[in-house]
Amino acid sequence: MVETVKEEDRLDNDEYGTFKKALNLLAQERGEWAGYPMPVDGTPLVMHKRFPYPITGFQVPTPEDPYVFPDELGAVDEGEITFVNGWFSQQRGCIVSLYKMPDGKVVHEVMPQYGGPKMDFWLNTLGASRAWDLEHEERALEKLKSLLKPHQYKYYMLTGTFLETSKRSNVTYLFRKSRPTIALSMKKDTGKVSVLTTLCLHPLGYYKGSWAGVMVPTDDVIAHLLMMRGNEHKFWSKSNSHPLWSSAAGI
Amino acid sequence: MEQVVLDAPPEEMGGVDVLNCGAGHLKFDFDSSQPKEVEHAKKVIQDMLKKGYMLFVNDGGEQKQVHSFDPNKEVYYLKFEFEETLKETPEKKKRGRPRKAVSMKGRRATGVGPTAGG
Repeated sequence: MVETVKEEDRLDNDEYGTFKKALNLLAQERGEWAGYPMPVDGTPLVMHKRFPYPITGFQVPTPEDPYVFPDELGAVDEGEITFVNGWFSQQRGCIVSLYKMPDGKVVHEVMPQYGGPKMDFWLNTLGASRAWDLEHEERALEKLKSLLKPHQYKYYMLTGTFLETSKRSNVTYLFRKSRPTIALSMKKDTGKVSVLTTLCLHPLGYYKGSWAGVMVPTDDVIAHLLMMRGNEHKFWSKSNSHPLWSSAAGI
Repeated sequence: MEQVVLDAPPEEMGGVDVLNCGAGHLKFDFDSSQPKEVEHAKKVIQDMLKKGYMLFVNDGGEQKQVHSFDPNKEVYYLKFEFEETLKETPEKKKRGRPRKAVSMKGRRATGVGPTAGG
C-alpha cells in the first residue's frame, strides 16, 4: 500500500514559495543585499527608516499599510484626542492611559499586560513565522555556531538561549531565540543578579505585535551578538528597551 | 599612522556573509588570486557601507565593526574603542586618531542591514 503524505504535512510546503522567490530576485536586481521582507496577511510590517518605499510596485491587501516607518507609530493628531499620562499598575497588571477628549473630558483606558496581550504576541509570532524558511534557519545556525564557543552553542540548541558578558561594560547578556535580549547586571561579590532591561532589535524590520523579525530568529540573534561585541553602544542606542512587565519583553 | 595587519595564512576564503531575509545568507566568496572575484566583492562592500549596513570582521579573536573600506588598499578600517586609543595617544582628541586597518583578504566579514527596534 502506498502511503501518501498530505500536502499540509510536507516539510517543504511553503504557501508563499513563488512570491518569495519573486521578491528575492527583485531585491537582488536592485542591490538590496538584505532582501525584501515577506508581507504576512494580517500582521503589518514595521521597517527601518531607510527602507525604500514602495518596494514592489503593488499593494498587499492588509488591514493597514504594511510598510510603516517607526517614527509614524503612535502619532496622535493634534486638535483631537490628546494623550495626558500613562503608567503601569503593578497591582492590576495593566497599563493605565489617560486621554483628553475634544470636549475637555478626560477618559481612561486600561490595557492588561498579562494573559490576553501576551497570548497575542505568541499567536502573532506564530503567524509571522510563515514568512520564514527552515533552510534559512539551518544556515543561520551554522553561522551562529562559528561565532560561539561550544558550550554556548549547546545551550542555544537545547534551550534557545545563551549568556555572554561584555568585557567592555561587564553587562551580561542573555540572548534568546525569538525574544528580546535581556541585559543583566551580575555582582560577583554578592552574587546578586539584577535585570537592567530587555533590548529588542531586528535587521530590516519586524512584524508588528509579535517577536518576529523579517529574518529567521537565529539571524536576529546573530545581529544582536555581533552588535554587542562590535559596537555595544550602538546596540543599546538602536534597540527598543521594553520593561520587564510588558508583553513585548517576552518574559 | 595606520597599522596594517598583513594577511595571515588564510584560514578561510575571504568573503562577505550578508544576513538576508529572502535567501538565508548571501555569500560573496572571493579567492585572492582571482581579480574579478575580488573586484566584485569590493563593489558589494562599498555599496553595503553606503547603504548603512554594518560590517563586522574578526580581529584577533574579537568581532569589530568596520568603519570604512579602502578598495585601493583593500583594507577595512575598524571603528575604534575610545579607551584603547586613549592609552596609545592620550594627547590627541578622538577626531583624527588613527584607525586600525585590517586586510580584506583571507578574512570573512558579516553584513547586517539597517535595523528597526522591535
